Amino acid sequence: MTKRHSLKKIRNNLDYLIFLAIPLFIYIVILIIPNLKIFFYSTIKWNGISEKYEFVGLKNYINLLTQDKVFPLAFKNTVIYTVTVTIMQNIPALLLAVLISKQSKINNIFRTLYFLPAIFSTVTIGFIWGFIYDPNLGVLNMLMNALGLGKYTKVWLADEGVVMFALALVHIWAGIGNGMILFLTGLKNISLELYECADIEGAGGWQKFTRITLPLLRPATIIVLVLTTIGSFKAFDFVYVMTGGGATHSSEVLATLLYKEGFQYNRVGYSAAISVILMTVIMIISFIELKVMQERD
Amino acid sequence: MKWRKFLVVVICIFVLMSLFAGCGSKQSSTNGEKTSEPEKKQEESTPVESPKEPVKLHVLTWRNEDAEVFAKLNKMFEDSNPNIKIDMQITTSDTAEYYSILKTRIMGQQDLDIFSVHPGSYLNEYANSSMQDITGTPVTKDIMPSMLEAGSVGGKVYAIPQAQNSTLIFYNKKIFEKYNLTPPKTWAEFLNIIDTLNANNVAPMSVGMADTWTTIWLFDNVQGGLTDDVKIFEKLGKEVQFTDPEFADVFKGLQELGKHNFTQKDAIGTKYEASLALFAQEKTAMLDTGTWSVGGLKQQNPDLQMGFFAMPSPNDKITVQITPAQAFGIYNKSKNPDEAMKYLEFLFSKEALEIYGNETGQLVTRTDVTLSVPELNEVSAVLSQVKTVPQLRLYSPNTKIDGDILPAASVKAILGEDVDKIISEAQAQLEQVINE
Amino acid sequence: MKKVLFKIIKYAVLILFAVFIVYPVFVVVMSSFKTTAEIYQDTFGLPSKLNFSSYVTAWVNGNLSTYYVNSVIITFVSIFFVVVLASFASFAITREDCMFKKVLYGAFVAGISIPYQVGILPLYLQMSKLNLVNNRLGLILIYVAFGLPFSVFVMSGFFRTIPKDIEESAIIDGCNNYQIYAKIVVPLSPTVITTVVIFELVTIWNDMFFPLIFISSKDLRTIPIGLLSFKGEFISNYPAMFAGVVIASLPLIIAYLLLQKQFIEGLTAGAVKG
Repeated sequence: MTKRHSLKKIRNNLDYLIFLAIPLFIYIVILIIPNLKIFFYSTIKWNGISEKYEFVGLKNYINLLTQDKVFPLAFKNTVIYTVTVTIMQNIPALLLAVLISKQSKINNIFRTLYFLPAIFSTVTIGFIWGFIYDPNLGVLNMLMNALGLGKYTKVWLADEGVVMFALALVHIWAGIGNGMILFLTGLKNISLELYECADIEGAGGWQKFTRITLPLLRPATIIVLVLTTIGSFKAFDFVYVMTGGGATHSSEVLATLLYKEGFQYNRVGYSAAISVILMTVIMIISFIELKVMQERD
Repeated sequence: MKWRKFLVVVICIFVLMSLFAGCGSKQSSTNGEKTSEPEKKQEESTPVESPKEPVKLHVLTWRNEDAEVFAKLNKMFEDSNPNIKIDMQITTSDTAEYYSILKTRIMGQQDLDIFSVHPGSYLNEYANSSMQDITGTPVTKDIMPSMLEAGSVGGKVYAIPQAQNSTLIFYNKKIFEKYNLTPPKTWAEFLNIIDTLNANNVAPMSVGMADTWTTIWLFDNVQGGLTDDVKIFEKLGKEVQFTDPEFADVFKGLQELGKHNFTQKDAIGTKYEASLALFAQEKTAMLDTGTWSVGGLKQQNPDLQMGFFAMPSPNDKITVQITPAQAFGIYNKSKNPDEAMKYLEFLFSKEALEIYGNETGQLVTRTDVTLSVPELNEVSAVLSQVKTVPQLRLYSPNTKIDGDILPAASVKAILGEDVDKIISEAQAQLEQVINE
Repeated sequence: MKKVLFKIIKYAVLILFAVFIVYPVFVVVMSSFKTTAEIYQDTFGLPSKLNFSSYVTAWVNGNLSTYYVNSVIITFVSIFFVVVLASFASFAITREDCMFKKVLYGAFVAGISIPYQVGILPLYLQMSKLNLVNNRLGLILIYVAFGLPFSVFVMSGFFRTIPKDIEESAIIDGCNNYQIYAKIVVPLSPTVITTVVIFELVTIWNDMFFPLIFISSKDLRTIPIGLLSFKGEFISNYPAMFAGVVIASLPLIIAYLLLQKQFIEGLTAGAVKG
């Protein structure tokens, strides 16, 4: 019995190997192997141009963690950005998904409208929001002045206290449609009968949401949560287009810092060290998220 | 059974893939151009026959606003050199983005024959390891000596700037007349203009401090008269420090300007282009920008009457720095160095530079070219009355100094942070960069 | 009464949110009809007259007709392979008896967390060695490789929720693994597949980063590179850029509407009441 069982397991696994062969091959050759080099780069001093480089061991990491004044700032900004996006994108996305999940003409329209921003390239989005936030010509301050909120207007993309939130808002604006779609996909798997049972038992809308929708939506929630944390921790495009990290690094995030260090200031080794730290932190966060969420199953 | 079924799928995939790969190269070869794949094979197998196929030169540069001029020039070149095809890639002008592309090409030693770099600390990094020494070649013959120097590293010429600009103060003639103002000759007069405009509720100057690279122009303008040492940046971190007056006084000058509220409201959040728009809309009286902006401003507001003046430094001396624009050089591992040189010679010929200068409204770098751009005459008139020097930052030892440390410190100085603290912080960063 | 009130609040929220979402899009469309001066003078007003010249500029100077063909080929082929290969991989690593399934899953998820910026140096070298630089196939392979982690992550997440008893009864009926994949897992997942298609479509269609680095020939470039040509070092043609954005986005909007139909048909099987 066990022998037959293990034989079957081997046969099955041969099948799986065939399924996995091509995707794994492409993935390893194009993504994994070249990117493994980043670890090596992080131990050298190299300008990215010449064939010569100098092995410096952990010096890049040590400089980064002990001497660099911008790195801690960028790390803090990245964390603020990530926390804001993760919370403020996913809760509205979930609520919207639930509100418009029913099949109807009007819901179709809303679904299309909410996904609209996701269609544009990040550069376009960054540019448009740069216009909106402009302190002298932008609509946001004009609107606030018109509404009598003039004293609350800010230099949205330069004020240290608000710039990360202003940037996060753009990320949320562009990404909420994506979150909504993933939640809708998850809602599909919830059987209608469960809600009918709840109706018979006289459960209210809120009870149905907390007792049925939320627990059964956990697989989708895990996916959305992990994707938004990773996406916002790696965030580059919006920040780079709108502020470039700011003249005084007030909105520097890790991805913009490593990009400029590597390609503009010709410090590829240093930039690779930031990449490795960024990657490690992301992996730890997503591992914790996956563990915590899955353990509750 | 199942094996067969799966094999069919796998084979289908690979047939499809090769089909698309085939169709990619087929389509491009019908257009007279080919992908690198067949090109390489041909070179390896039949080097003797290659003269029949046109040589393709890969040119990498960043100024999209010049795309039409370059298209015209490239066509002229191809017409007179039928065996050479120019494949010019104009990428983004963002420095980090541009240099990321250039770095990959150098790394792969592929698709690169001629490229442009920013003269100065960028050129320094690329020259020795990746650019061909063109010292003494015919292409350098009629180029202005100062511009050849800008394209040189360690006494050898590696690249030639195509154009030269200077950052001046543009002013709105109508507003200046209304308040009885004339272009300043001294620092005090300049501050007085700012105060008068502020007293009349006119925003004195458009500054787009949200873009790091615009603030450095203010730094340049203030620094101009403060030093007679053209190569002061070369000594930075060694004989000269940020704490020395040649630098410290610049930050102090910027702080003084900041205290006089010389910018429009919230300049720290204004992008370069928005700052141009504010000036074009006559919402500000002055603008600190390069001479390349004239055309764009006229386009936004044809009625705009503008004049130019050079900003006095805090010691009342006026010196304008001449900034070389993109400089072209030859990749030292180019597969077609002779053809590349031919193209470079064409690009810097009298005929081509004349076209380039006239159509982009920039002064070019040959001694024997006269342009017919009316706005440039006025600029030249201003420049003829003051001392001009090549941009001091050209000798900056590291891109991080002029790309990051100086602009950040300048912004902080303008915003009114404690100058001594700014200088000591910048000095610490400088030492870190130099010692690394 | 309570129900009516709930409905009013619900639609008020939905409409307010729609305004927040749509207004910037509206600005893009309006700006495409303006001149540069108008954009800055009155960014958020209506254009003084409908000026289509920017569309002509975008189409002609941006060389969009050629780039459209390239974008369509590259996007569609890439998506096809991403979806097929990701579903293969996801199927395998979500099987109960798959060896190393956790490691494999982890390896794919790790791919999402790689910051791609510095990696382009070794990646270019690798592609150059494989002779796949400045070549459509090379770009497609890059998109497939970079699309796999995300797609595998999403697909495997949803494949796991397929009830096990359906598969077990299929095995009893004598289905082998290939039949389970083709007859059970894929037909039960139209929503997930559509989702991945939509995400990848938007990502690949709009991507500027990889074509900028890996494509140097003019006749192989894609639409985002065409749009980039309106952004200069000191002078930019924003009306043309926005017109180009509108032209570039139209096929995506149409594709999304078509895919949404597919998506919703998948949804109706289990819509939420409430």
